[in-house]
Amino acid sequence: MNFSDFSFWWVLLLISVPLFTVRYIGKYLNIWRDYFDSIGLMVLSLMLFVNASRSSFIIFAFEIILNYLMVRLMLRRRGWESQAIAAVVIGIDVAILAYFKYVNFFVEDVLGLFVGGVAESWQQRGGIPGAGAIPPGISFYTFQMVAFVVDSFKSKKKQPIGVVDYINFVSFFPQVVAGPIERRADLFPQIESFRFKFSAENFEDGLKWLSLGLFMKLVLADNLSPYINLQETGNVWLVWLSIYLFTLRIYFDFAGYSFIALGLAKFVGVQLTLNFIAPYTSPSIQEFWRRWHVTLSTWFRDYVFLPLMGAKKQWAAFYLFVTFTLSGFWHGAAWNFIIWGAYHGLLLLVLRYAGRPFYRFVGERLFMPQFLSWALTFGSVMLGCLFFMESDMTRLGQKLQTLVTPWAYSFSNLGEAMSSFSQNEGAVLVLILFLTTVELFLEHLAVWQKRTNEYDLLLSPWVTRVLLGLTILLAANTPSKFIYFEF
Amino acid sequence: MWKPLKLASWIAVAGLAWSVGYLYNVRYGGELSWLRAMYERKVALASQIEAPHRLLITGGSGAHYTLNTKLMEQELGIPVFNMGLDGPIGLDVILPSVLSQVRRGDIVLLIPEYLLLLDEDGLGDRSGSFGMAIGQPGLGGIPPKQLALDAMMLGVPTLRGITKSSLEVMENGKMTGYYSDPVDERGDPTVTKERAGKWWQMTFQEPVSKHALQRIAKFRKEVEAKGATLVLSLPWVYANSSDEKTIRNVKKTAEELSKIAPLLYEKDSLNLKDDSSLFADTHYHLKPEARTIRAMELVQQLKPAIASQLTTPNSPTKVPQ
Repeated sequence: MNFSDFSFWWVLLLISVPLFTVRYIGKYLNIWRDYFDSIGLMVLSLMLFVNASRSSFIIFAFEIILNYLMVRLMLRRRGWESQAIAAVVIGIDVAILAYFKYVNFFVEDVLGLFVGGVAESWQQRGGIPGAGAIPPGISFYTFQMVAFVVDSFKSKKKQPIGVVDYINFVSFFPQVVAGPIERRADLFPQIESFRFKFSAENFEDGLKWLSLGLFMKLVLADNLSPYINLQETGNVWLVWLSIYLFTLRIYFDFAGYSFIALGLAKFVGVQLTLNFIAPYTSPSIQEFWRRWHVTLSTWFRDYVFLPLMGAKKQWAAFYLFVTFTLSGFWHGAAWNFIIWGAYHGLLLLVLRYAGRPFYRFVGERLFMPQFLSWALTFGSVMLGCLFFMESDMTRLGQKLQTLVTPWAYSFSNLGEAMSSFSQNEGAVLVLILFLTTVELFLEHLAVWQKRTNEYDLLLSPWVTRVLLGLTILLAANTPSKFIYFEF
Repeated sequence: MWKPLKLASWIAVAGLAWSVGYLYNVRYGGELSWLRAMYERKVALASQIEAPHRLLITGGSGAHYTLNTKLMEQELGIPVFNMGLDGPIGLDVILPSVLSQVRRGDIVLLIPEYLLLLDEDGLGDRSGSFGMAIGQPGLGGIPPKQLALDAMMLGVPTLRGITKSSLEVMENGKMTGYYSDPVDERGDPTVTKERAGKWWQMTFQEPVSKHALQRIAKFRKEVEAKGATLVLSLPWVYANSSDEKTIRNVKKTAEELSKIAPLLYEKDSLNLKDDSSLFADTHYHLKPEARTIRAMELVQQLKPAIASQLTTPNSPTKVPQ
C-alpha cells in the first residue's frame, strides 16, 4: 500500500467507517459473531489492494488461490508427495515473479551480451505481455507465500488452515506490498481467528510508530529527494552529496514505510516484525545486515543461504557471497543491483577474514576505534548506495572515475558545487540535514545507553507528539514514491 | 496519564500544528494567502463600481498580467475591471468565483490561457484550496476525495514554504508571495516581474478540450441568466507560430470557441507571438508597453462586439480609489 498516496487513507476511511459502525451496532445487538472480524479484515485488505493496483490484484488473487489449495493438499500428504507439491508451488511462485521481473533483463541484458541485435528486436516487438511492468508488491508477497509453504512443510502440526486466515496472512493490508516479509510463526498465530483489538494502549503504541514513520517518510525522505541529482557526474562534491543524501533517503523512506505499517497493524492489535533496527549505528557490515531490512535478510538466510550451503560449512563464505549477490538481483533486474549485492557479499568476506586483526591493530594504535569502525561501516554502506541508486552503467562508470580522481577534489569544484544551490534551496538542505542528524543522533544515543529499543528515545511520548506536529508543518507537498515499490 | 487524555493529546498536537499551518497558508504568508487576499480585494473593488455597464475581464494570470484597464476604460467609456486570477485555480473554479460578481448589463470578457483551455477536467492544483480559502468549499464541483485532500493540505505549510518565508522575514522584515504585490483600483497588477530563466517557444499538441468547451458554454448561460453578456478572447502567448500542429490546434480552438460566444483575436497571428521581448516572466504575462498594445487591440476588437451595450446611456461612474 502506498501510504504517501492519499488514496490509501481515503479508501481506508471509506471502508473502515461503515465496517466499524456495523460492527459496533452488531455487537450492541449481540448479533456480531467473532469470525466476522476476520471477514472484515479480509475485505479491508483486499479492497485496499484493489485500490492500489487492479492489475496486480488479479495476479495476487490467482496466487492466493493456487497457494492455498496447494498448501492444503500438501498438508494432507506425507513424504515425497508432500515435498513434490511444495516444490511445484514454490516453482510456480518464483516463475511468476521471474516472468514479470526478470524476462526483459535476461533477454536484453544477458542474452544481448552474447547475441547481437537481440535487445533491439525484443524491444521493437514490445517484449512479452506484462513483462517489465512489475506489479506492485509481487516481490514481497511472493516471498511471504514461499516462506509459508516451506514453514508449513516443515511444521510438525499438519493442521488444516482456514481460507480466510490464509488470505488475511498474505494480504494483511499494512505490510502486503512492501513488507515486513512476515513468517508463519510470527504472524499466522495472530491472524488465526483474528479479532480487532481496539484499546487505548494499542492506539497509543500505533500512533507512536505511525508518527515516527510519517516523519521519516514525509519530512525527511521526501524533502531530501529533490536534492539527489543522478545526472551529475563531473563534480565530485555533488556526486558525494547525492550519494550521501540517497543513503539517508533510502533508510528514512523504507524504515518510514515499515514503521507506518507497524503502527497501522498495532491499531488492530497485530504486532509486526521490526524491519529496521537503527542500521546506521552499526559498527560493522555484519551488524548492519542484522539491522537493515531484517525480514529480507533472515528470509535469504533461512530459504537461500542455509539450504544452498547444506552441510558444506567450509564453503560458508562462498555461499554467503552468492546469497548476497542473489539478494541484489532480487532488488532489481539490473547490473547495478547485482554489483551492489556482490559488493556487500565481498564486504562481509573482507570483514570475516580481516575484520578482527584490523580492529585489534586499530585498537592498539588509535583513539576511539569504535568510532572508526562505525565511520568505515557507514562509508562502505554509502559507497554501496552509489551502486544501488545508479542504474545507468555508463554514468556509474563516470561517477566512479570522478570519485577516484584526486584533483577532482579541488576548492574550485567545491565552490561550484555550493553555488549550484539558490539561497532558499541551500537553507532547506541545511535544515533537512540538521533534522536527519538529530534523528540519527537519538538512535545512536539509545544504542550507547543500551536501551531495550533503539528507537526508545524517538518513541517517547512527547518526542512522538512533536514528530507528529513537525510532520504536519514540514511535510513535503509532493511526496515521492517509496523506493522499495520498484522492487 | 489517564488514557483518554493521553489519546486526546495526539488530537490536540495535530490540531494545533494544523491550525498554525492553516493560518500561514490561508491567512498570512503562504502563496494561497496572497491569492485569497488578491481575490477578496478585487471582489471588494469591483462591487464598488456603480454603472449600468461594466467590462469585467476574467481568466487566470494570463488575464491578470496582460492588460491596461485604465486605457481600455478611457477608450470604451465604461468602467473596466480586471478580475483575472491564477491558472492553477482551474476553469471550473475561476468561472463560478467570478460569476457571483456579475451584474445585469455587465460585459464579461473571458481570456483563458491554454492551461485552462486544454485541461480535461477543469480543475487545477489550487482548485480545492482556493475555494476553501475564500470560504466557498466545493466551488467548481470538486470531487469529495480531492476536496478532503485539499482540506488536509490547507494546514501543511511545508519545509520549503516555511524556510522561504523565514528568510524573507529575516532579510526584508516581511513575507511575500507571487501575488503579494498590490493591485490598482481597476484590479491591474502594479509590479512587473522579470523572467530569470531562458525563453522557449510554446507549442500546442491538442486543441481546446471538450470539458473546457462545455464549461464555457455553461458559463455563457449563467452569465446571460444574470442579464450580462459573455465575450471570449484568445490570450497572447509566446509560442512557435510556424509550428503547423500548433497553428492547426489553435485554429480549431478558435473555431470551437467562436461557436459559444463572440471570440476576439487577431486572425493572421492567432495571438501567437514570436517576440519574447513583449513578455515579462512567463509565456502569458506581458510587459507594461505590451499591455498597452494588447489593451488597444482588445478595444478595437471589443467595440463592434459590444456596440449595442456601448450605445446605452451611461449612469455616473464611480471608480473606487
